[in-house]
Amino acid sequence: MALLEVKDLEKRFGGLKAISGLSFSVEKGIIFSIIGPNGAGKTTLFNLLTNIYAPSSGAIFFKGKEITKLPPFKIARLGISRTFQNLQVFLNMSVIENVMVGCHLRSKSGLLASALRLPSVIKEEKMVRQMAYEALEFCGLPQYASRPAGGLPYGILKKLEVARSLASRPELLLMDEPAAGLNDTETAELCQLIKRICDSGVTVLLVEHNMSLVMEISQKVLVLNYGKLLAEGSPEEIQKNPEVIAAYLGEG
Amino acid sequence: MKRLSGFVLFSAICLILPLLFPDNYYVTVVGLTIFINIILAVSLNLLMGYAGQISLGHAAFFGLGAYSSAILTIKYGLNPWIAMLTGAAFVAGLSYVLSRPILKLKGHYLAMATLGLGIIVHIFFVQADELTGGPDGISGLPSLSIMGMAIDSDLKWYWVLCSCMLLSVLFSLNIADSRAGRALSAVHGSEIAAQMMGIDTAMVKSHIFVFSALMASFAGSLFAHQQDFVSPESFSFFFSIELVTMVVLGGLGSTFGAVIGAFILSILPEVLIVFEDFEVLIFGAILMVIMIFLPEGLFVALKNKVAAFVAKRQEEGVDGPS
Amino acid sequence: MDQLLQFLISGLTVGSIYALVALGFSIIYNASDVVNFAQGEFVMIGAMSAIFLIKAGVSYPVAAILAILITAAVGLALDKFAIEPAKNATVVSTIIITIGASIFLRGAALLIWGKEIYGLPPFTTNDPIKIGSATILPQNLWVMLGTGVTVFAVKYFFDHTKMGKAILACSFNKKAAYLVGINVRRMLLVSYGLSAALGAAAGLLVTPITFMSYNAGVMLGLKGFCAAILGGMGNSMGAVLGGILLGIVETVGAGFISSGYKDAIAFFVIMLVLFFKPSGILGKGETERV
Repeated sequence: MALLEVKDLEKRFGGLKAISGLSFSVEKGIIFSIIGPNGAGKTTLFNLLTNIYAPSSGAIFFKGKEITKLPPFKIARLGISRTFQNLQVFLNMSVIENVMVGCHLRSKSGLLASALRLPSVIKEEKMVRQMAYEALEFCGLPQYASRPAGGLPYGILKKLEVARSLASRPELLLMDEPAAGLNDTETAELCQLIKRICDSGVTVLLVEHNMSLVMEISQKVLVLNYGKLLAEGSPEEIQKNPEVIAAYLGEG
Repeated sequence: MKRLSGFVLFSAICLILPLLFPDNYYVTVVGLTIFINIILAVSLNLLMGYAGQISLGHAAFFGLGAYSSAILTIKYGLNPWIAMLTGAAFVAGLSYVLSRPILKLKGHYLAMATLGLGIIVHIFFVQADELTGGPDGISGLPSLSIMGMAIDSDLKWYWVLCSCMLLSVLFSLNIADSRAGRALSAVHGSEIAAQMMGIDTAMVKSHIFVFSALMASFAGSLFAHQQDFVSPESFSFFFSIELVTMVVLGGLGSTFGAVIGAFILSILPEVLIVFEDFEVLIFGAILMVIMIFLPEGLFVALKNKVAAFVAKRQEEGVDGPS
Repeated sequence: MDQLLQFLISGLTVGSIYALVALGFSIIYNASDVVNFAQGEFVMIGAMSAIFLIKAGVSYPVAAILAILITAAVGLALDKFAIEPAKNATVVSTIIITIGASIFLRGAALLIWGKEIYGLPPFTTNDPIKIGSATILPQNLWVMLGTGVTVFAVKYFFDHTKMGKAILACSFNKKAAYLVGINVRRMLLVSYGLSAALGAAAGLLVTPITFMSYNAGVMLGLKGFCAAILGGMGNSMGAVLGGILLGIVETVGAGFISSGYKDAIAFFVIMLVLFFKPSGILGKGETERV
């Protein structure tokens, strides 16, 4: 059974079909990349998967269960997490607090218990802080823990989003253009990070423009063009596919 | 506990003052107003500063708590504590029902809806004179007693209100540094990202709205018994704006910011009375000057300056004196 | 039925005033994302200045023009001395500054003009005119006409003049406007001056009907804010529409249901509209790009 299954997904914005007739599945434990020219519908797809947009038709299944109409926070509770193309870091908190929010699903103190600071709360705080710190270490950011997030460089914030998502121990991590805006060194670090994430058992679904990154780390690549599936296969197969080449470089 | 060292110091000061100055008007009378305002400002700060939801109608819940106590004790003869709890339950229910539709709005539209709420409640206090006594209000509330001892002197009220104030400050500090507090700040920082971390943002907003309304309701009931009198004037739109000003003046998002803001805005009118006709003018000028030069709020600005000073000293310490 | 006509006339009159105040809010909000809580004070200052200029012997028309200029100057001063120095503050902090300014201006008005209530003479002879079974005062017509002309002039300014378009550019994207050579600071200054002038115009139009005192600006400012929200914050024509609707709902509510609860009814209606259209009647929904 595939981890994620998309069936006949369609999204219309008025008369424009952003996504049409899209079907694919993602096996557990791999790095699956989605590429395509600008405007192909990649971020729209992510927004559909996390129900930030509701699909016009079609269905999405996670571990066999339909998630098409679930609100985003319920989707997160099933084990899917996501980073964003336009950073959605909590700039009003410190780095470690950002990641501690990622641990929200792994803790349970409520408002009243927190106000009274019951012993269970104190114990949980210690545990959450430890889990957050481990996530920061995994992403190479422990030295920034107590720094306020606002004011940190872009590259660090991109890693912070990853650490935050990882802290929730997702089964599937959606990464929306993680390499955007990164220089070569940062991209190489990202490459290693994604491999480490996959090795730790998390399935990664990636949307990217950076071809060399995609080709290096992916087990499977899907090409979107004008919201439709153009090709699907291993990196080598995709690189040789004449339709793909035409789509990127233009016809004739 | 290092985390609460500021709070311990603050508590000590509050508790010592009446022992040092038992007959001082500022301590025993103005102090009571300050304590009520602190509870209100701290509760509003949880909603506005942490969760980032603007409310221009907080005085409504304060008033509902006050009027509930007045009406239930005088017209229906309920025990004051039962009346207070009943009023709180009513406010909890009302605020919960209103929270869902209201908190779907954002920014100025949310401000507008809370403003409308505040004004509608205030108009009700003025117009429904059969129940509320109209513009003249209700007076003659029975005294509040704790374990048989009636709270009937300024000093006794000082101890009661001080304890309640300290409790509310403690709650706020605890929430800030907890999973619930981080969820609030996350909703403020980015609702979409908060949702992707599994936070039910609608529920979080709703819960903090109710929690802060409850705090205001209890403050209202205490206020009603302490003043022995309720009238619509104390619960107007102007007071809601004053509360927002207190929170921002001290520093939005900071519990002690709300405390300082409440303190300054409560004491300023008393201090400025010497200027007579110039009072309003100077009050406005002070507000402007503080916000222009310290837009992050008085307490937050102070905290940042101290932190910067300490960081600089540490740097110099490492490098050694030059 | 004839009652309805009478209420509509009153509603349109008071709604026109709200429309002007709302337009003032909208202009400053568009230029700077700030809700200027001192907007109501501009109305008061415009009216009070005119009243006292007339007392000092100045003719009505000249006093009116001077009053508008004085208020515009106050608006410019507000921007220059209170808003500009705090240019790096958050929106919320800036709003508190305008609250402080509104208190300051009220305090100044109290010192200069005292607590009494004053009036302005109507623009022309004020014999009531009968329309069907309703009566309308010429001043009501002046208010509606004055508002119509002013709104038209403002719309023309934004649609067809270089400066108006420059201000609109600032409201869409300050950085981009700056990069194409627009002096954003000056445009903001102009916006405050313009809003203040609008407020003063509203004050001049309404005082012959409802009189004025040092703190009468507060409620007007509040209602104008509500109207701007109702119409869709940032949409100038929405603000005007919101103002007129608010005036009508308020008057009809007072007439048919209860005059004590009229404000409550008006707010209730506004909140109802917001629940169905969360960004106001003509407002555009804000979509976050993620």
